[in-house]
Amino acid sequence: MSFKLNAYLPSKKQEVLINELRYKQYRDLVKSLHNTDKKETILQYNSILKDLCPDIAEYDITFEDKLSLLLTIRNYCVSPDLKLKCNLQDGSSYSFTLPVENLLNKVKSINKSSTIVTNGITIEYSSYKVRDEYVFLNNNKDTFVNLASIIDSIKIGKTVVIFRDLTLEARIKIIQELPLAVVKTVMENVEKINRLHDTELLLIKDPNTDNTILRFSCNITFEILQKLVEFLYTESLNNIYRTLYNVVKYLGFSAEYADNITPIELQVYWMYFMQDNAKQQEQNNAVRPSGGLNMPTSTPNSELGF
Amino acid sequence: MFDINEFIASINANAVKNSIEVFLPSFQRVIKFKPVSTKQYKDLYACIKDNILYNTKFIIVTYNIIKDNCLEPDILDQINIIDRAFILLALRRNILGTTVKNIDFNSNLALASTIVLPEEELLTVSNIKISTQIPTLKEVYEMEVELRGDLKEETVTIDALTENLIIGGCCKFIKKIQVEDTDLNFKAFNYKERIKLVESLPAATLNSIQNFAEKVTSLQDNITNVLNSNGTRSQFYINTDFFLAE
Repeated sequence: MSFKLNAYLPSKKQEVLINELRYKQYRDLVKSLHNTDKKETILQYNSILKDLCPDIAEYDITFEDKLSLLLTIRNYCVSPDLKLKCNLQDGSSYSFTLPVENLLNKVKSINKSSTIVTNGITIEYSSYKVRDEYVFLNNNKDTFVNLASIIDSIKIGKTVVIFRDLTLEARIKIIQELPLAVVKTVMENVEKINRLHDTELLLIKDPNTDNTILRFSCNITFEILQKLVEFLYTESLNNIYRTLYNVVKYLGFSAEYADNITPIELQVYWMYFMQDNAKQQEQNNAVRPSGGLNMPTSTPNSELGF
Repeated sequence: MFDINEFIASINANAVKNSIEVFLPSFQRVIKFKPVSTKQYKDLYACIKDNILYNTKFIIVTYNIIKDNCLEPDILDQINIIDRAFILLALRRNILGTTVKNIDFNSNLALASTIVLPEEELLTVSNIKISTQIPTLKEVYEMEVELRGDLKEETVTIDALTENLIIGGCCKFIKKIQVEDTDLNFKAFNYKERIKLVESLPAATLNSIQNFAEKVTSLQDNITNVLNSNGTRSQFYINTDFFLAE
């Protein structure tokens, strides 16, 4: 039986239950990042998220919500630490480690949902929606596209239009018909909220010079979202395949079973195996100081590397 | 099923409810206009690259905005270029306020009710009689559409350009031409023909038309001339930049 995790949707201020990430899904996520068609990558991530958390189908989730779900899964099912290797200006490299929980807490605190009432028009808006993610692939900075994505609903008198029900084109058409003064008010308020969120989500500094190497603000743009997904789910494909090979060959698990447990569980089993091997090695050494059991030389390291 | 056109109709009805009142000198009363929509503002943005001398795109776009937003479409053809200036000031105030490049034009909107429009003049040079007019918004628009509506950049000499500006400019101020009491039905001609006709008029006639035109342009200049708090005066212009710069 698998656990259910609690994940938080910042834009809805709501918790949802999310299934554990199975090794097969993890492998698909990692492989997907190697795909040259980035639209496919986005679709793959969103499809796996829907499988893991069917509840999100009810909501019009935002970039922050998606990031919160991916961070939760990464934290509980893969590894609680995010390790990044940074290349410094002097040619050396620097390993930066951050608890995923830290990022998760910051993402959870992002609140961009607001309502504006002006000129008899009520506009509810929050943040960029995951359903529009692919639209921003080609560095699309069009103001109308941005607004079409962040607006949730518009109410005039008793008539309400819910933007999630409409195509991007229809949403843009509605925005273009709105009085400019109204749209300008929305834009000014969005900028105001963005200024409040211009705090560090992720900051990496050169340990030698204290110069900033990387800074992501809490304003999660398409670019920041993609980079963070990359940071969270990039893994050597060799490592991914080697893991499955090792657990089948040395732990005797069936490939199907290994595919259906979480990467972190595989890690635990592998740790037990390594501990047993170490004990066996010690015993063998005590009996016969030279030679002994050959450790599985194909093992990349004592941990599986996630 | 949700009908997007129905919702757009609601937006339109709301815009009518929140219409902007503008006092137009030639009607001596308030006329209502819907506020500029986001799409219309986008069209104004597209005027950044315009014909510098004639502001062709800007004239076409602002005509369309005034036409679409005027709540009394019947009067559209009678709106003149002085009225147009006040309409554009009011629409701009609704979008970006009354400050443009540190000049506050708020008090200029009040000029609409005090301004005295030049009377029509009858200019007589030998056997030619010319009635003048303040150009209407529609005529200025139609002239631009006909002469430069394709927005093609043409290379012309300075002399030809000056001639175009003067003769073309004069055309807009002519209401009627009579030669020996025969009405030439000037407005029945297209603008290329009107220009040819004006070119053939005696120079003295052109001077008189220009004198009348100067009265109108000086009135336009007054509308966009601001008395600053320190006693100095500043001039601004109603062009694309006016709608984009704060």
